[in-house]
Amino acid sequence: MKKICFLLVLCILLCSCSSVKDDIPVQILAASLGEEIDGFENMAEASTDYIKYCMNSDLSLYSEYIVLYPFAGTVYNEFGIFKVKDKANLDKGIEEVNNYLAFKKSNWDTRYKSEELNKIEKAKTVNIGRYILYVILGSEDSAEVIEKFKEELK
Amino acid sequence: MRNFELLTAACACALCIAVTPCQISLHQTVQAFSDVATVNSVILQKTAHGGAEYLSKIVFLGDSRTYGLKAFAMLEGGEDTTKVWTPKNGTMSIWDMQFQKVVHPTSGVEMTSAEAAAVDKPEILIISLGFNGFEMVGKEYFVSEYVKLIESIKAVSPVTKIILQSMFPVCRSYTYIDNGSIKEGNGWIMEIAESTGCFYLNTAEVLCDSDGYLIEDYSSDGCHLTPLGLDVQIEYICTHMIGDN
Repeated sequence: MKKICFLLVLCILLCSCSSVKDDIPVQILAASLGEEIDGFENMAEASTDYIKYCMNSDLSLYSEYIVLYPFAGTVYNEFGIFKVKDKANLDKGIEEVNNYLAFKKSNWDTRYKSEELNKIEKAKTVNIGRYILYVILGSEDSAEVIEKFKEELK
Repeated sequence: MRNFELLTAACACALCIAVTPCQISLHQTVQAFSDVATVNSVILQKTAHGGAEYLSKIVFLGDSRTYGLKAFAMLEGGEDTTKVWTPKNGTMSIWDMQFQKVVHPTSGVEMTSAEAAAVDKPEILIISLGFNGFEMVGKEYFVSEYVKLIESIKAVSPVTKIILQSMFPVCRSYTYIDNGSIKEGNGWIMEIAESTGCFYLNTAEVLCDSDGYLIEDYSSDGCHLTPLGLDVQIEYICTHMIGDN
């Protein structure tokens, strides 16, 4: 009996350790992550049309989404957060994001400065719970944003 | 060369039949330089030279290919001209154009094109956009974004006459984008001009060699115009004026 109780407690502890927050609106999350980005003030929300047509996203997969990219300034920074409706859609969501990054990389605007190209080459996708984050940022900003993303969803 | 000859023939024909040199009938078909360009009421036709007076009425909204007008001091005011609206980063992509910000020359403030139009209310606005990204998106999205931009400007400055300028071709040496796609995109822009009540300026025709490539002397990198190319562009603009109607 003691063993069973011990295993039960252990299971609960393990479950609680691996659980993540699931109720943070992507807008709030994005605002928090943006604090880590130089030039965040020049970024604004991409339109739904952009996400639908340029990212080729099946919006029915997501309960919430936000993509931020620059509408002003001189540097290119971009990140997006997608929250799938159902965890069963995670793989599909991640695939969509990665396809977009591959597309973006192969069609990178060569007129941007060379240091900007580095951002798309080192673009990253991270998944926690039902959230998918992708970043097209400088190395330092990228690391900080991903770390903040993990912290926020702990 | 065939196209150039056809253009010459078309111009000669137009002169012979003494058509008013601003616009011609919607249904009249004349073969222009571009195979896809069926001349209609929105395409600006050859006119007398408008000179500095006409040029002074124009504000240019565009991407890095327009920025040359400022950088090379091609307009009134030189490098400090107030006639060029481009984003601070020098480029403007097709997506979400209505939200992208340009540097308003007089104030130095970054604002959307519509906000700049609301402030300046230019008499004529030449929009030269689409080159950055047109080949990545479909026609539906391209048209939709272009129309949103135009409508946002018209809403705040209904007095502004808007000219949509064709995307310029690229040189043979420029391999990122092909001229066939540019020609197709220009067809979309012309349709947008028709549907939104704007004018279409087929400047591309005067920048091409006989094979449809941007003339090498007109560009230093295969894409962006040199002062020589910009001169040709300005000359074309001033000789394809909007009429009084």
